[in-house]
Amino acid sequence: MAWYKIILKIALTATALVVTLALLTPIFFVILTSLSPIGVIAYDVRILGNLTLENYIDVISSPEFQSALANSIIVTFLTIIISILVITPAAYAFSRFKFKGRSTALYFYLMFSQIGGGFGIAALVALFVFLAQLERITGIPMIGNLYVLPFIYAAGMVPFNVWLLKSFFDTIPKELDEAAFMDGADWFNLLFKVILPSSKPGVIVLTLFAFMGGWSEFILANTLQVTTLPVQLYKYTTGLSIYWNKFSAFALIFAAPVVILYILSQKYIGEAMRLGVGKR
Amino acid sequence: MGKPKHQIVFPVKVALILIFPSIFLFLFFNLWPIAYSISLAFTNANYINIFNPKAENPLRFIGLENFFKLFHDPGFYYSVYKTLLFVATSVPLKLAVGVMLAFLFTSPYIVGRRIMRGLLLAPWALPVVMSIMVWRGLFDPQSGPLALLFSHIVGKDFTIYRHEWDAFIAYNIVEMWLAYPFIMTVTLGAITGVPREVIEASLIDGASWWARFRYIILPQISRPLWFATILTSGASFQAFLVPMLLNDGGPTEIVSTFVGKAFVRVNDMLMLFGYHRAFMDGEYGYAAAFYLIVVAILGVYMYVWFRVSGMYRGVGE
Repeated sequence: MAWYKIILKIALTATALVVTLALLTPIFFVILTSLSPIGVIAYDVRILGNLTLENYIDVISSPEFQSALANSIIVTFLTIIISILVITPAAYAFSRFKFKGRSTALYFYLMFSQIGGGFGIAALVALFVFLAQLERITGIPMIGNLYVLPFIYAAGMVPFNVWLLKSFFDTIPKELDEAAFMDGADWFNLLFKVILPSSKPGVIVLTLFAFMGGWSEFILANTLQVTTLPVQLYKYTTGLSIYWNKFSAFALIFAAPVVILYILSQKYIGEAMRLGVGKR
Repeated sequence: MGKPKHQIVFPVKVALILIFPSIFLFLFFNLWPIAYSISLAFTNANYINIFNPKAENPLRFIGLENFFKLFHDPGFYYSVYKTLLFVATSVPLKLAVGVMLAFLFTSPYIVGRRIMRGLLLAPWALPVVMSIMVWRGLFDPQSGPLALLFSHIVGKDFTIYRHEWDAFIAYNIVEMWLAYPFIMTVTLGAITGVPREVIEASLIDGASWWARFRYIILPQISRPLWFATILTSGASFQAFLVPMLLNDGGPTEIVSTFVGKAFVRVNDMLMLFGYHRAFMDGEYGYAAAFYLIVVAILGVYMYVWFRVSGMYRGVGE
């Protein structure tokens, strides 16, 4: 190898390394701070000798964390269940049935899932007022009600995920439906015991999106006054004295499942994107 | 030959029953609030009268009053100004960082570039809300390493909670960090799409690196890059979580505009301005009217961008 190529190699690798490390600063920072014995930030190298897991223990044993975790688990679990229960039949109907307005509805869903995002915050005010009115009329508490959130999250998932799951169902041969019918299955059993289990990547992707949504969503939960994990995390940063070491431990516990799922599910997300794009 | 007996039938009635729950949920929580927000914009809805119908100032139709009020609100104009400025600064920053990273990491001379490229996608793997709050820690005036570093460089306190432009700089950095993986991925995809033979041919012909960039690589990446620019400009225009979670659009100062002076949160980007009117002031009708205007601006903005990018595309072909 020519000498100038070796120099180029060293120079470029060094540059790339410096750039990468610089851009990953927030990650080093949050990990190091979470292990720091003092509340302030870990910019001082002297703390490196005194790293501790105490923050994690403190966070896990704190009642704020435990109640936020319980709320998050309930909300996320229900979001997954509701979205599967509601989206599966719709996706199946769009995949197998021929009816009037079918393509219009599908097209509308696609449009909405592409451009609807920007309306989210704009519609939030109306959603809040609407729920407040509903609370006044029915007497059922809506604001601050843990069980309202999963329905809103699942509703938000409908347009894109009906499309997505339909694309997965389209790849299942119709003979499977017929065989199940021969065996005397009804619609419910056909859907949830035959079609859904035979579309494993579809279910995984749907569950994943529902999980990511329910677990990490912040604005709706904060506005509707439900203290899930991200809302509790926000409360840590707005207090009068901020313990960044406790915050960091909390943040990492909160992010861990998301990061793990992100890494594990790369393959399935790629598959979903391919189907979603290819099936225009 | 007749139909086989086990042929499955798909009656329309069953289809409607299967679809109904999803449609109901979607209409109830998505479409209805959007429609409702349009009618809300013409009312005096506030935090008292939506809960109590016997309030002193009951919920009623007030015509265009909210819109008149909005056009006389200095805070609104200042928010428009700040938002456009943020688009003008953050978009070039995101693009520059993303494109430079992409070019750096196409070089075959980097040892371990696949691993580094994977690590650079970290902002995608982390929940956005958490990332922004971690940045808030980095910018913490008392102990945040970045705040201390910047204070050291400029020779005075870098305080996102008290200095208008310190906060603005912080927003730009965080927005860049959240968006560079997208720009980088789009650009990398486009660069690797340039056929190797074309580059080799240009090397044999003795084309300079500039000519190679200008006539071979640039035409290949300009189209996807335009597309990414449109999307990421939209994201900057709708900045919400970044200003909210870093310092809630603060600090609060007196600003003067052509409609008068007012005491406002100086970094209230548009989306956050409306949120504050609703959930800080409790003025739901006013906020709904404001968002109607914003959605209209957003529509025009996106339309113009698409036209401009279409024009450039026409020139390139």
